[in-house]
Amino acid sequence: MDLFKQASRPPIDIELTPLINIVFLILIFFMLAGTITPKDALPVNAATSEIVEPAINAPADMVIALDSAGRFSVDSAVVSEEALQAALQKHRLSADATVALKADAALPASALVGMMGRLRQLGFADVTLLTLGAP
Amino acid sequence: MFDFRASAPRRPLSLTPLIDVVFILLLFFMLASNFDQWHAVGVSSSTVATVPSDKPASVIQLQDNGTATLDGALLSDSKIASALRGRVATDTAHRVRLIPAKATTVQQLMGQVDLIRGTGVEHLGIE
Repeated sequence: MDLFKQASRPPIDIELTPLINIVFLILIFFMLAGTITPKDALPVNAATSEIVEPAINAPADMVIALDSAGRFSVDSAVVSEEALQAALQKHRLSADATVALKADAALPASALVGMMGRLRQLGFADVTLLTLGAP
Repeated sequence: MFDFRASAPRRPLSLTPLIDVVFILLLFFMLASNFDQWHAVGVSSSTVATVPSDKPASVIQLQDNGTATLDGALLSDSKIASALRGRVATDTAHRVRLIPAKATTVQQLMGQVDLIRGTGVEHLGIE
């Protein structure tokens, strides 16, 4: 009367191939669909727009990010007013130098206009505003 | 002379290290990649300076409360759009100056830029 004796069962052989297939597919999806970009130095919740002019693979040479408090960063580094001025003057020397502005949606428009005026004084008449696609 | 010994039985390849590496790669791409769709909106910091023209530019002033005036007249968005479409139809190089009020946000400004660009205006300056 060995009631607790369990019948010996053969070990379950888990087939891993379907798992690996799915993981490979997910990996390929993330590799192809996503883009790896450096993280912004400032938290910028960019404005949305419905304009369909994709900026993919055509980024401006220099990206200036403005957060909601009016602080700015250049190419993912927070800089001072003087450093920004110096960086722009250096950038202007290169041929076909362009500037893109990534402004926070909550930033007062006057701050953006002020930055554009500063860029105009330095010779950047045309600038690109980077926005996110409307959800 | 001849080696008739039975060859050693082939050991099955262990997939565990491969799965480990693939999982690590998957984690990296899941955490590092982003799916933001960036759009580029080309604007000028001064339309008047960059595109000289005999014809006067339209002036749109964006008010603090989100309303806008076209050449001083308070109009709805649809009326502004239709007026701009008419002007672009007669002058393809028609210029528009967009002047936001101090308290407006960038999001409100971009909404107006969307409206203006939707009418076919190519020379848009924000001042």
